[in-house]
Amino acid sequence: MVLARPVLIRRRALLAAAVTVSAGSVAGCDLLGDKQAQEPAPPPDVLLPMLHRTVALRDRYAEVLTAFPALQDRLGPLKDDHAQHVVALAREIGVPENGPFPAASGSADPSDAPSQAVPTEQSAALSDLAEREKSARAEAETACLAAPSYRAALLGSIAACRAGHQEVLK
Amino acid sequence: MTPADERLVAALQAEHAAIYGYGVLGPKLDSASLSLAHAADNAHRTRRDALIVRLAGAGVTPPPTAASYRLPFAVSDRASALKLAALLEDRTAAQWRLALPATDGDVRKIVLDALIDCTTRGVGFRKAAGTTPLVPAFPGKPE
Repeated sequence: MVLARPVLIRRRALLAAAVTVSAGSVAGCDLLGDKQAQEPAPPPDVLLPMLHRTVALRDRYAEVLTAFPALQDRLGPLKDDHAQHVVALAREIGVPENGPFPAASGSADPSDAPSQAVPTEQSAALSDLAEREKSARAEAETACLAAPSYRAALLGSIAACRAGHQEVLK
Repeated sequence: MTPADERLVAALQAEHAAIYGYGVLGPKLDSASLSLAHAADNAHRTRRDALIVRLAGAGVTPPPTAASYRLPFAVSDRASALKLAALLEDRTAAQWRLALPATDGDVRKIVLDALIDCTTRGVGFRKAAGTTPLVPAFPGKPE
C-alpha cells in the first residue's frame, strides 16, 4: 500500500501533464481554427446548380411516367440518361453520387421548389418535357463553353444528349 | 501543330470518312431516309470545307480524303445502310468530342455544335431504323 502511493502520485502527475499537453494542443487547434474562420469558405462548385436542375429533370420524367405509364418505352431511356448525368456530375463535383447534394447558393434552387403539376394531356406533358430539355441543353452548352478543359467533354456530351432527347420528343 | 489543330485534323479525317460512307449507303435507302442522308451528307461537306479553310489558315496542311475506306460491314439493304449512317454519326461525334478539351472560345463553340449535330442526326437514323436506344447517354464517349 505504502509503495503504491508514490506510483499513484506519479500517475496523477502524468495525468496532469497529459492534460496540460492536451490543453496546449487545444489552444493550438483554436489558433488554427481562428485562422480558418478568417478565410472565406471555398465557393460552391459552379456545376452545383446544374446538378440540382439535372436531378429535377430526372424526377420530372419520373412524374410524367407515373401519370402516363404507357410512355415507358419512349421516356424510360431518357430518364435513365438524366440519372447517369446526375451520377457523372456528382462525381465531377466530388459529392456522393446518391446525394443528398449540398444546396446551391444564391438563386432559388428549382429542385427544392415545389414542381408544377404534370399536364393532364399526354401531348402537353411531352411538350412540357421538350421545353425542359431545351433549357437544360442550353444550360449544358453554356457550361461546356465556360468550362476548363478537363470538364469540356463531359459537359459537351450532356448538352448533345439533351439535344438528342429533343429529337426523340419531336 | 497545336493540340487543337491536331484534334481538328482528326475531326476532318472523320468528316472525310463520313462523306465517303454516305456515298456508299445512299443508294440503298428509301426516299424518306434518303432525304435524311442527303441532309447529313451536306452538313458533313460544309463542316469539312470549313475545317479545311480553318486549318489552312493556321498553316496546317489539311489531310486529303482517302481514295476509299474499309466499311465495318457490308451495306446491302436499307437496314444496313441506316446502321452505317448511325455509326458514321457516332464516330464523327467521337472525334468532335475529343476536340472539346483542346479548344476554347469560338473554336470550342464550333466543335460543340458539330458534336450536337452528329448526335441529333444519329437519333434520326436510329428512329428510321427502329433501333434503340435512340440517344447515347454520353454522345461521343467511347463505350
